[in-house]
Formats: sequence, C-alpha cells, structure tokens
Amino acid sequence: MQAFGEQLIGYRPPIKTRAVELMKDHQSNGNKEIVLNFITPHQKWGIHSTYSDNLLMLTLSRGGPIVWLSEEDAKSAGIVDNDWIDVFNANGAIACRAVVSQRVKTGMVMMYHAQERIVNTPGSKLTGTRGGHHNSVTRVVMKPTHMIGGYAQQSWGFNYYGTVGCNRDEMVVIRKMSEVEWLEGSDTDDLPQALPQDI
Amino acid sequence: MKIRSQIGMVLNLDKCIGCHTCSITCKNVWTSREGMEYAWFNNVESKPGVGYPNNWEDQDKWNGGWKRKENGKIEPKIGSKMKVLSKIFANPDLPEMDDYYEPFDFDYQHLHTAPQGKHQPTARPRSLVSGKRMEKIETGPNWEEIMGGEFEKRSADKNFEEVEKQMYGEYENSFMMYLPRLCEHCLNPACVASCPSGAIYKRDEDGIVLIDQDKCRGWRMCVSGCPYKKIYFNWKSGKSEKCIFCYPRIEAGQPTVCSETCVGRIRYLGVLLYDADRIEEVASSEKETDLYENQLSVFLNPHDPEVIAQARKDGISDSVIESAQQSPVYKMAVDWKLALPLHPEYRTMPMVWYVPPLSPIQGAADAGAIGMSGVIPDVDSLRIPIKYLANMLTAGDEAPVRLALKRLLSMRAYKRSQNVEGEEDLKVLEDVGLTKLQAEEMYRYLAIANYEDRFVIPPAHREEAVKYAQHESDGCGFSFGNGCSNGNSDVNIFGAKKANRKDIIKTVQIWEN
Repeated sequence: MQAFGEQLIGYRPPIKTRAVELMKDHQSNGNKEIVLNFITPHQKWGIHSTYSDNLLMLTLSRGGPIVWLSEEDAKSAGIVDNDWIDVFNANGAIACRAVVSQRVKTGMVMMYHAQERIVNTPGSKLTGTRGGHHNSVTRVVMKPTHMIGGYAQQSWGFNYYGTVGCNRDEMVVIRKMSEVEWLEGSDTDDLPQALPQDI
Repeated sequence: MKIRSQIGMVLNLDKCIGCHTCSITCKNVWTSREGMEYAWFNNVESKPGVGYPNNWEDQDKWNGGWKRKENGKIEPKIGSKMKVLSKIFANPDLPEMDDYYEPFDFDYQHLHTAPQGKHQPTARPRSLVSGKRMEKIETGPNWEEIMGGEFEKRSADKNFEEVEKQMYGEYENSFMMYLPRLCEHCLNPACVASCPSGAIYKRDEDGIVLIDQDKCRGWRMCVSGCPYKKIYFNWKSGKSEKCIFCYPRIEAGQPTVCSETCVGRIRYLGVLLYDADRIEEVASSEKETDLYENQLSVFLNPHDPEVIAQARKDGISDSVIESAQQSPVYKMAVDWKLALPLHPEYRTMPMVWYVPPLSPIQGAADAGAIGMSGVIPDVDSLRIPIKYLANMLTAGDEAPVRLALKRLLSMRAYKRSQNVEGEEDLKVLEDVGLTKLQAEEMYRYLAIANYEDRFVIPPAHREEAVKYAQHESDGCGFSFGNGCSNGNSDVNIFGAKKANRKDIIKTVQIWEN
C-alpha cells in the first residue's frame, strides 16, 4: 500500500473513464443531452435486506424506477418532474422517470439502490433492450491496490472488487425520452395470463 | 360545567423519520380492500408540499372547517344546514380522483406468464379503478416524498403564507419536515355538522368520531366539511369511511395501530378531561390566534379535587380520571405547552397535537455568527422558518411555537450540562419557565419514551359494555351498512362503469358473500 501511496486518505480527482465522451450526442433523439455526475445512495426504505420495492412502498413513492436531478439541470435539459428520461453512458442505459428536486445539488444525479427493472421499466432506445438499474451505468475500475491479497478491507468480496464507492465514480448523459417503447410485443391492454396450475 | 373525557394523541415531529410504518400498518389493517384503495386513514407528508389530497390545507378552495359569522356564531364553511341540503346533488367542494390519485397495481402475473420473447418482461401499472392499463403514473399519495417535485409546485403549500418563500427554493436554504396525519377526532367536528343524514357522531365515552355505516347515505358532505380531508368515500359500498382511532384496541386499553408500530416512538396517547359546555364559546373565539390558547383553557386539571368531584358526578369512572392524571397528552399539550394543534384556525378544536420539530442551524457555515440566546441557539436561526410552523400549528401566532422550540432546546442544554459538564444549569430552564422536575420528566417522555409513559389508555368498562351490547343485540356485527349485506353497491364516484368492470388481479383478500 505504501508503495502506491495509498496508506492515507487523500483527495484524488475523479478517474477519467471515458464512458461519457463516446456516447454524448452519438445517438441523438433530438432532445438536449447533459452530462452529470452519477451517485447511487442506499435507498430510504431498505433496512438491511428489506425488500422495499413492493406495491405499497411503490404507491408511497413514484410507482417505479426514478432518478433524481436538480431543478437547474432539469431546466437546462427541458425536463420536468415525472418525465421519462434516458440515463446512459458507454457502460449501459437506464430508462426511468425523473424526480426534479431542489434537494439535489446542481451537477449531479442520483439513483437509489434496489429499484427493480421488472416493474414499470420501459425499453431504452440506446441499447435496444429493457432499461437497466442503478448499476447498469457503472463499472468497477480496478487499480493495483485492489489486487493485494489479505485483509478484507483491502480486497473486498468475491463478486465486487472495490473497498469504497469512488472506484465506480461515473458520469452519465441525461436526456428526455422522445417516445416510450415498452418492448412487450403487441401493445394490447390484455390482462396477464393466469399461471398454469398443472405444472 | 359538564366534564367529558377524550382520548387524544401527540406526535413528536422532532423524532419523525418519515418511514411510513404508521401508514402501511394502518392501510394493512383498515383500508386494504376494494373501494378503499386510494384511502389512507393515516398518511405521512413531506413538508413543504401540497400534500394529499392536493392542497388540502387551502380552505379557500375546499371550504372545510368552520367560519365565524358576523353575529359571532359559527357554521360550517360549506354552508348552513339548508345550504348543504340545497347542493346535495352537486357539491362543488368535493375533491375528485385527480386530487387524490388513481390507485394502481402492477401486472406482476405477466412476469410469470409472458410468452418467450427477446426482452425481459416488465410489470406495467394497471388502474385499480378502471382496470385499464396506465401509460404513466402521474401522482400518488406521497408524490412529494423527500422534496420530490419542483419547488414552485411544492411551495403552493398554504403554510408559506406571509413567508418570503423564494429563498427557500434554493439548495442552500432548503428545509423539510415530515407531517404524519390522521383524523383529528375534533372536539368541534365539522364533519358531524355537515352530515345531512346525522350518521357521524362523537362517542360520549372517549370522543372518538365515527361514521355509522347503517345511517350513512353517501352524500359526502363530510368529505367537504372536514378541513383535514380525512374522510374517504368508499366507491364500492357507496358510504364514507374514516379513521376509527382503532377503537377496538383503545377499548381494550391498547394503543392505535399507528402508535403501536411507530418505530421512532413519536406517538403518545392519553386522556384529557374537558368542559363540554365551553366548546361552542371557544370555537367561536373572535381572533383566530386566540383559538389555540382558548382551546387549552377547556382542558381541566385532573389533579384538581373540584374537577375530580364534578367528573365523578358527570359519570366519568375513576379509572379514566386516574388515566387523565397520568396522561402524556396533558403533560405535553397543557403542562409543558410543547404540543400544538394542527390548524386551530379551522375552529374544529383538533385533538391530535404536534410537537414542532427542531431543525439544523441555518448559518452553520458562518461559524461564530450564529445568533445565541444564552447557551441555546436562537430559534430564529433554525432552518425551518418559525412563521411556517406557526401557520401550521397556531394560526400564525409565532409565540407558542417559539416557546415550544426553546423548551426543547433548553431541556437538551440542561441535560448536557448535567451529563457532560457535571453541573446542572438550572438557569437555562428558568429562562423558559421550566422547573427541574419538568425538565427531567420531559427528558423521560421525549428521549426515553417508554411504552408505559407513551400510552396511558383506560380500558372500556365492562358494565358500560353491557349497555352498548344491548343496543347491538340484533345487529350484524361489523358490516358496511345496508343491513346485513356486505354493503356493496354499484355507485362509483369516479364515474367508471362498475358493472362492466374487468376483474383485476386482487392483491387483497376481500369478503364476498
């Protein structure tokens, strides 16, 4: 650790992941695209592993995946509260609705953990498949200290290399969706089929 | 003097974390059935915001509560008895579905049974009113959760009256608080006065306001009359329903479901003795800002021997008087003056009280420049504007809000001096008119908040139960009126055709014959 100068906490500028430059205005839908810093805090109603994306809790929020952005940024991109938006970069894309709030600082965008893409999530024009969740646009950027063996706080986990969040530091492009595509084949208002009982 | 007892509630907003556990448990117990999908007897609002239903606090729009006439008498704002009858078929003051929200479910079954395809299926929303798919969910009962939505929309909040609100829309000056709401079980309920069928009544023994489901004819004048918009029309039964203060639990000496399950321990339940002869006089107080103080004056000291003697004479049992003496509501509302009523200017004399929340110091960035009054920070330096709280809790009078906040701060300063510095700072208590004993008790009730201190509920008396049971002997037990049927009718306020209603996925068990 000492060899890498990592024994003490210190400021490091964000890593340049080049995840945004490739994408901005590359597949334009005509709406203005803005670039914002993406953070993914822990969701409010998720104590330990409590499943917070159920019908009642969704009723008490916005009824599906949402991304929060500041009033200033929303205004500059022509987005109003509850608009469908695309959130994307080279790693992936999210299709969800926007919550515009003064609580969010200008320049950043926020998506809470544990929002299920199996509920109320349309397709993304950018990927041609269903919109993703909060981790769709992030990617762990490895650095040598992640590979040091030994203590857990230095090389964490079997499915996620990263002791802290900063190695997922990411920028995203945001724009208003031009049309909402549900990718459900025929778009009829049929009730779902009942589950076969003879399996 | 005619003494009555009432069970009241205090909510300590200083400790509310907005987890909505109260709303969920209440919903699961009382309104998880067809016809009531959109109804939340208890809901928690993020303030500032317009709330649920939209802008419920705007009585210029809804005409809820009472108005004082020039002759000094009061009448429901929606109009006199005659006026109410005249607009019985076309009530202009009734919230519509869009003012609440269109309740929805998701096509979860689709996730199991979708045909094989290129993309992962997703459960889209379906209206619980029309049974049709919803393209987009446009609003909900808690749309403004943690300041969701543009400030311009949220700041339509009536409590911003006489507040320079522009600056509070800036990131640096933003503030918020949670406001859990339920029926206020008012001493002077406007819903009771608005009902053309005489179906709503205030229970003699504990003051709980109930709607007789056999007498309700679904005119919905109570929905308009209630300024808190806490009466909901059940479109399935065609009758109105409201929070029943969990009376089956109260009768058994147990707290309401919302209070029992509150994880922040912010809710208190206790008995207050009051002089029923003075209700009309107090509700028609000339100045709106006097309503809070005057309401306090109807509550009687349960330790006063004269009050006790009169209460006994008026048929109040000793167990109720004993509970009144231990009542946390009496302590917080009357003794310490920490708890304040919600919108006393509606003249309903509400009985669910709120301890105003402390908030972070506004100017923490300018270290050293914070206004101090003695050892406690100046309440004007708190982030939530005093005027905003006063508009919500004391008809705009800032003095009672200041006193309550100062007392909360002083109790903390006193405990800090005791525990950190090792010497008791009694001066800080004197400055806000508290004794050491009161401060210690405040600490016990507010910070420790033991179950036994929070809930002092006298169980109903069996000898009285016999009296009520006789009345019920030929009844059907719990029903939704319409005799002994389940009360379902084809009436639908939302105009959807009920007869052709598609069967939608049932998320709740409902009773069918």
